[in-house]
Amino acid sequence: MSFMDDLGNALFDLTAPLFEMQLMGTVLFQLFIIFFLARLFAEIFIKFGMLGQVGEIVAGILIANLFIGDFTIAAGLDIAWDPDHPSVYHEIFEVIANLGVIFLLFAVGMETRICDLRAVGKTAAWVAILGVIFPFILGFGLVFAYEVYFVPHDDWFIHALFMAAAMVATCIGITARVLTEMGVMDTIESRIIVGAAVVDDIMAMIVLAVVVGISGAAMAGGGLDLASIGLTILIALIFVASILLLCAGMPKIKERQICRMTEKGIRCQERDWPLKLEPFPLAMLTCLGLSAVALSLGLAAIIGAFLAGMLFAEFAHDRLESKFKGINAFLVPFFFVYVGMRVEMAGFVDIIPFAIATIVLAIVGKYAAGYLGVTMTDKSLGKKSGDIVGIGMSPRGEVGIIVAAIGLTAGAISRDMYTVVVFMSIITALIAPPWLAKSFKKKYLDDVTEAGQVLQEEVLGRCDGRPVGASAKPFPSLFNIQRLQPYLGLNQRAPKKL
Amino acid sequence: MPDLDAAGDFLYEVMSPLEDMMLLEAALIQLFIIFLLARVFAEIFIRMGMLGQIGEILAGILLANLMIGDWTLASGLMIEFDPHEPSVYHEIFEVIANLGVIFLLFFVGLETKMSDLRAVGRPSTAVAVLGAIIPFILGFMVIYVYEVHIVPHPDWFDHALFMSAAMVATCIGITARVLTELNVMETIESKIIIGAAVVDDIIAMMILAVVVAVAGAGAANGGLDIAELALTIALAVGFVLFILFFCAYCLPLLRYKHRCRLTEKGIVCDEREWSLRIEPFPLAIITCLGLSAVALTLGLAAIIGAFLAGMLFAEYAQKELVPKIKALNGFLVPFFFVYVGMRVELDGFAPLIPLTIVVIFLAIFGKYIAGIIGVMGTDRSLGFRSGEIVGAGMSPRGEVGIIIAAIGLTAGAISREMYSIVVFMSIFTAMIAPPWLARSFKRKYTQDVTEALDKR
Repeated sequence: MSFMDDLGNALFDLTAPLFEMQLMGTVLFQLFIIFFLARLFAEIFIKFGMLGQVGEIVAGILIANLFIGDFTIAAGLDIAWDPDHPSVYHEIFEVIANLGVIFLLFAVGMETRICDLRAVGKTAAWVAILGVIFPFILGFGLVFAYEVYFVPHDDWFIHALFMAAAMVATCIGITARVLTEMGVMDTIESRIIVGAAVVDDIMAMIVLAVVVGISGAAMAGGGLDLASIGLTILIALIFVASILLLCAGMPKIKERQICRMTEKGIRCQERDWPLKLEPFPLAMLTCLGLSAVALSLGLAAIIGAFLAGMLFAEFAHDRLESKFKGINAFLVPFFFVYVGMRVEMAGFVDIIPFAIATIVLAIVGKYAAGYLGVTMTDKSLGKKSGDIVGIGMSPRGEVGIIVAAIGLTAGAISRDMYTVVVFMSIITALIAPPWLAKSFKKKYLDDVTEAGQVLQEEVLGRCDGRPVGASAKPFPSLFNIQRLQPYLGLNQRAPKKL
Repeated sequence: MPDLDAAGDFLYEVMSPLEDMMLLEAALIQLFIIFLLARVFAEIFIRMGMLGQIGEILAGILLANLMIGDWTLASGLMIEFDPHEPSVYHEIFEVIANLGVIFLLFFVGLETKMSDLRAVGRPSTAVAVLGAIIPFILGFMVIYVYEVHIVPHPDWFDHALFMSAAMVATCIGITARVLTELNVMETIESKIIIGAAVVDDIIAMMILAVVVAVAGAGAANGGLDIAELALTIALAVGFVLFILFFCAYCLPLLRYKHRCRLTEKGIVCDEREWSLRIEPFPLAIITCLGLSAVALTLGLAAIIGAFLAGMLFAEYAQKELVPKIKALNGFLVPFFFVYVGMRVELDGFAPLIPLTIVVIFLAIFGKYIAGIIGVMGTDRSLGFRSGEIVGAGMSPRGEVGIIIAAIGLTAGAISREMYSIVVFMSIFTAMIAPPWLARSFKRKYTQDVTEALDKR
């Protein structure tokens, strides 16, 4: 042990010169090291066919939890999270990470179109509603059982609320990526999943708003003040509803045309963007502004950012998407590292049973919701479709983590609970993609075994023009249903019974 | 002024809730207000046919200097520049602004291709070298005269060094925009200007490296230690030359890697712009942050590292990187220009106006003379008018001059008044140059350009 202590002290000495520089120099080094580690782990995880974000979170966990004597990278860089003595470097890092998550949610919002919501109809709505209710009840029940009977805790009510809220939101990003890579975006199940995930996101935001309002009121007053909770919920609902209304009204602006007199007569163009201002700065302002408004109303900043994204979804989507990708590629890794850094591995062993129970319930809740939602509302879809939708809804990603992070910052949940939520998100995000692929395969390939196998081999034979075997890319190229579409009748416009 | 004082107190009162907020909330509101003001002023300036950046700087000047009683918007937002008691919000703002300038310089580097440099030829090199030497000497002289004979100051040497360094760098962005709008990019003068501006940027970086080293050595020991100074300069120049060498000779080896595949039509090889398997953008950010940090460690300015990092990627992934870095800059850079403006101190600036006018005049004059001598001395076929065009085209100083002054200010090597002078010099040259350039082009190529001008 003494060797480790010496090594740790030596490492502390090594990083000491960092803090003799001017502020900017120190910060540059910190950002460089964090970004480097984040990308390194992301690349490694991507090479193994997993999500890059998971690698970034793991990098964060290691930065804060890999002890060499007393030394961790976080402590050496003076960015360790310490609520009692916040260092200025941690605060700078925190602001950058939070800007990352705000723009990330803006990008998610930009993918959420009101017209998609209208199109999915009853089934998706049921899946989404059940998918909010089941996990919420299960999450609440779990924490209730744990903190009232096993490890009694005074604040069990607020803990349970945040846990339950963190279990609500499906990560549409992960599922959408998997569906796109498999080329099954046009199947009815995919449409239900995406539609339900969109509704789910909005409901998760509302649930989060309500939970933040309740816990804020509870912590301020010491007890629950029903009037103030009601007011908060009302404010949250009015805020969300008014922006959604605005979203629904936006397409009217869109249909404006500009006509010009040219040499060849009058030419009219329909424009994506009717204003004379450039969309990007305006999007930026809306995003920062609504985030600040949401915070001032006692909601989470990301709710404002998400709604700001929705405002621009039908508009300047094409122009903004690439720009926000550029910004997010720089800022978002800092957020995932920040998420990982808050995980506390010391003492985690004691709560492993609790973590496992959480993960199981998280998956069961969404699965049951998807299964029941599909089979109850649409008789034409069978068990296998319910299976697909249930699995497709199960990954929780950044939103669940963000909810937990907000709870942790507000002091509404403990660091153990937070760690459990982060692990729940990581594991559901890791399990869902291969499982989803398998259940798609079960539905669409087993029914047409013969045609499927022939085509499957053909597809496996070519990938990027290079001959590859089945093992070269385990999951995404396993099969490609899009190429099977003419044979399977998966085209949405001409549905054909299998 | 009882009314204004009362109004100021009232405004402090209005903004006092900011103090009780959580860090993130307050920071978000500050960023929102800063970004909003920056964009409003930028849009107004763009509508008036000027550069958006000037509007952003002006927004910063107003933010810090528009006093209502004791109140300014900057102090209300708690982002005031106060070297003695730095607030955490000012530090956050400073970091974001500095990230902005680092990526801005990365972007400038990304536009600076080694192959362009080689193609430049003699007139450009002459213009660039003279355009570095003459303004440097003029800048040094004017501060020497002013601070030794008129208003004596013990630190005149450091002041003079930074002042003259800030007068060296041409702002290629402004000139290039004007040339494109005039539709004269293909003329020989335009090519000379662009080539010279690229060489100029590199020379400016070298001068900055040396100046920072000299000022750093001077500030550390109280006096100049020749041996240490020589070491720092050697390190600085070595670092820059090493990266340039790497750009010129090592990277092309990577570039011509072919990727061959066996297809039905036989072996097909395609040349790829980007030959690594990692995505270029994260690698670019890592290189940019890394080299900036290395440059700082070597006692240089962070932007030198960022600029060189940009040059490393210029011939490679330029097409892929430019839109992404532009997007990032669209968010970060306005904060930098506001930050630049916020450091200008208008209070007590009046006595400095004569000096400012002299500096602006010399800044333009220096580049103008360099353009005329450089062109006429090396290429007999080009006349006085071509020299005039090149001189006018080289005269705008933009962000690089301001950045150099900002570095000097942060390092304590120049005073806030000197810094304000440089900012005004950059603003004025950037505003004067475009119409001047247009007119001198018109004088030479009347017929060709009249049409393009009318379209504007």
